[in-house]
Amino acid sequence: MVLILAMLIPFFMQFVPGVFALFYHYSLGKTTTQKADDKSLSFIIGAEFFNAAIWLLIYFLAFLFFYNVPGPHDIFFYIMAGIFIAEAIAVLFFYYRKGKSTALFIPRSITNGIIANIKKNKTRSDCIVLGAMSGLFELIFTLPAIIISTSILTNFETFSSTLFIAISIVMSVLPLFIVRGAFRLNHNLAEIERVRVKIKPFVKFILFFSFLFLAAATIYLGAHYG
Amino acid sequence: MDEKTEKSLRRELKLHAKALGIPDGSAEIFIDKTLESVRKSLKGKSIITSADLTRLIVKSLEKYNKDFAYVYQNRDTII
Repeated sequence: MVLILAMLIPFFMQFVPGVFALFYHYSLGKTTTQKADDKSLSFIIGAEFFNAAIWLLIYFLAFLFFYNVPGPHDIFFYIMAGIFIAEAIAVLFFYYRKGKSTALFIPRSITNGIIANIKKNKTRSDCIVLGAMSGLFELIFTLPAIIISTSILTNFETFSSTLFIAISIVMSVLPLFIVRGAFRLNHNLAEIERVRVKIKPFVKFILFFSFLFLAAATIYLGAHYG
Repeated sequence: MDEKTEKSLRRELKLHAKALGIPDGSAEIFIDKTLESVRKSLKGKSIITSADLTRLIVKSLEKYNKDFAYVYQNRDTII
């Protein structure tokens, strides 16, 4: 259950899909549909690379930690539980800004910079960098979930843990494929945005309970296996 | 509204219209009428904020295309 939730949290995060929707919209406004499609794939590749790098790096660090630092590791699990509780509260009160929009907690100066980058991007490498960069701002919420699941995976067989990491990496970019699919089915940014606004309470609810459950599960893990 | 502002507004509105799949001819008419109504509303005013300008544009665009107005209104609050 912890592993599935850790996989679902990046799926429900709203920043990267928001950046991607805006990026696709501006690409459609500046170029042909074909070129916008190509650019969107580059963006997804960038996001995928970033996720893969983070998952594998944290997996490697988890191995180093659990095999080189003598136990008990219960304090590590309790710290992680504390972080999850803080994240549950943050999701409830700070993740979305007030108002009928999907504006997130990220400072306006940063989002304005990203929007300026979205407007200016021209080459494929620009799109790849934008995709990778946008994942960076969500790490504050996704990183603890990745840390706890890779910590659990260090006890699994190599094949099953590699398979799980591969599925998680794919899952984290699935929302981008959904947004891309919506654009390709002739839905526009306004329609996509209205749906994102409508599902705001649902996303908040899912993330809040996921983080709370992760906190409880992490305390249990610390007490029994730490 | 000076010429430079109008030119950049027209460029931005054209970009959004194309992205929303509004045919060029219709987009041109919507934009012309919108800018005309904004110009009329601004007559005699010496100070105007960008929020006022956005509100006037959105109000006018809503008459022609709701999606166009919605995207223009929320363009900075999507992320």
